[in-house]
Amino acid sequence: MADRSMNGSVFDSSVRTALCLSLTAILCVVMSDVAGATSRTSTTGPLTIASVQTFSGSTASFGPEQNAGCLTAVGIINGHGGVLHHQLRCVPVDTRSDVVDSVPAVQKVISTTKGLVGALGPSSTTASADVPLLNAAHVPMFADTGQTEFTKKFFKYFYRIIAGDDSVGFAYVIWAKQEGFKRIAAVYVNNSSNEGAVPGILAAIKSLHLKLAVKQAVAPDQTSYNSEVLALEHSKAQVIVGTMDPQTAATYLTDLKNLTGKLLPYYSEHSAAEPVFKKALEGAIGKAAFVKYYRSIHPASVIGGTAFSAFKKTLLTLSIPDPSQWINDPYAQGPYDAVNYMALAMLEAHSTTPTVFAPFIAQVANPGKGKEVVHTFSQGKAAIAAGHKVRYVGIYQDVVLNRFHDSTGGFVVTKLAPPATTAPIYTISSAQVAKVSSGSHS
Amino acid sequence: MNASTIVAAIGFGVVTASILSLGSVGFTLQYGMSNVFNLAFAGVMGGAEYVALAINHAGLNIWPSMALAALFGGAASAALNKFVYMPFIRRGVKTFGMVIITLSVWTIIQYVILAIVGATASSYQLPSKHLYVVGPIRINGIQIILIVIAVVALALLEVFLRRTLWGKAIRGAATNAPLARASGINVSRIMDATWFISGLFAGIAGVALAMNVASFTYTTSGNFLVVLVAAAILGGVGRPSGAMFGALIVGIATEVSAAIFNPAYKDVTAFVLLALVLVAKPAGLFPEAVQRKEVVL
Repeated sequence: MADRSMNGSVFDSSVRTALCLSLTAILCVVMSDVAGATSRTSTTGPLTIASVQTFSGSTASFGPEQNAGCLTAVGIINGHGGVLHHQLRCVPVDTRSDVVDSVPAVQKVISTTKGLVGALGPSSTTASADVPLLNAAHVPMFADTGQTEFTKKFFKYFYRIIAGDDSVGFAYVIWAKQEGFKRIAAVYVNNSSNEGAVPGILAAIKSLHLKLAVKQAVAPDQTSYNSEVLALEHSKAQVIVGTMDPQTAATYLTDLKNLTGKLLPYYSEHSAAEPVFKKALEGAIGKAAFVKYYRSIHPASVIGGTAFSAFKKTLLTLSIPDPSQWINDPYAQGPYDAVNYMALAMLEAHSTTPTVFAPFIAQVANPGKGKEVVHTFSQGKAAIAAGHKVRYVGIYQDVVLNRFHDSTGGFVVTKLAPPATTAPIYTISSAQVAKVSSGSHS
Repeated sequence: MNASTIVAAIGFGVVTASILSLGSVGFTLQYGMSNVFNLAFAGVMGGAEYVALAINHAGLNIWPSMALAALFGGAASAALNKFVYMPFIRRGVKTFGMVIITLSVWTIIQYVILAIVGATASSYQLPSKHLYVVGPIRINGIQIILIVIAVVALALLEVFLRRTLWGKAIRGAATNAPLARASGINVSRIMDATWFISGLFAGIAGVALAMNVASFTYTTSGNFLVVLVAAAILGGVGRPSGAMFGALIVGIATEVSAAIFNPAYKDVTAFVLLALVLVAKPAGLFPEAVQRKEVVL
């Protein structure tokens, strides 16, 4: 092998050429990035919130659900004069639950959308691919994923107000113990969207001195789950915890009911009022059984109060199919809060440029000395105009963004209160989760 | 793992196989006749599921709803071939091109269903399910009826193909279309009839699947297509009796593997089995009598 360091002229010329090319390339990238950011934000037209979510495919209900929250927030904000003289709009970006489709869709919205100031989503199926893209383009996003990879990995423009999946696992087991169950079955679909809670479930069972009856990773969308149900029956489980998509959960529970003649309590993070989940399970096991056996454990949102009332009032005026279905849906409420965080951050920063206002998102979300607590965009806008710093406390409760822009938050256990609303029956605080996860619970 | 669990899993496998066989036989019948690897078969299944839903929710019992949905499947399938596929074939589109066209048609059907019914889940109004226990095997009344429907439908198809003039004409046209045409068989009509019959099977399979999974969406039949095609290929694509055996093997193997191993890998079992069989017998367990290379006009 030739020692290139010994040959001065070759070394110098090649290094010079490489350096020149590298610098040119870097300059081009930087210029295009700056130009891109400028072209996206220097418009006097509307500001765009991209709703990066699945609008088709097996989880096609996630998109309209998230968009309902976005449209509600935008409706209120625009009704109060917009942000710094800009109107806001929501643009759906269909990820189709698949990175193959989501990456070009996200790249397209980044490169072609003027006034792109933020994003809602992506969800778990595409987050690993989409988050770095949005982050690199300096688009603040409120992700709809509980994936634990984002719990300790820093992305400057990544924000999350729903709890990480590991925390959800702890919450399931805390509620199971509260209900007096000792033998717990962890049943979940074997994909990245649903497996995240499992480590938390297992750790909480150990920490709370309970018994893991069976751990089943099931394949989604099967014709039947009879063999799996048979194993569940043999395990003498008293309760089922874990996340399954609506169709899988419906088939699994139907097989359980048919095969054993009875159902077991089932806890997952799907809201009991989430239309697709509710309809799938009610149709499969019956409305009465759904009310009796299903408990939803999801981020703590409050039904009532100023924030909820503003959300509900505007949501019901939207020209979308059956807006009432999203009233008590935490996955419509979260995006509503997210848009408000971003809009208020823009007001505090006096800028609609994401690189400028993004650092203000955590300031608006977190408590602080002298801050005025506001529950709606209009309250926040008035307070900021009066020269106050604000903390927005929306429908989601207990939101505090840590250095990873992640809020562990609390949880609320709800059940369906027919016909289509939910009733909270227990609250699990972030402190309770932290106590069990640290193993200090006895 | 005891023997009773395995026996119980075999029982579950028979139920799965009965639904699978209805679909795979319909699928393979189309291929056997026209050499079109019709991925839009799942679209016809999906359409039939929703036709049955509309009829069932209008107040009719699920069984006549299934029969009417089957007729819809037959008509839709025949129309699909005559008005969508045949024009492409006449223009000289070859086998692989037709696969892409069927894939496109399937996607279009799926999105049309999505536009009409939305992404929401639906369920049939079913009669109560009485559970029958025979030793370790547990099976409910609806599943027994589904098995009976599958057995009767498949037996009737065999009798039709082997004992009737129409059946013999189908087999003749499937084996050698130009020769059948030269012998005075109206291949075009035979083709229509075959696609209609295979559509009947698609309709029954779609409704049976939707009944068994309890809650279905516009993607349910599409998720089922991969296993359905695997069963058809395992049996020797183009051969209805082979597809029946393929379905039986896949159905039982997936359930038994779920009972013994990790149920997350249920589908993988079917494909490992398929790969092993194809290594030993590349044309499947019961290969077609005549291997044709191109689509039949």
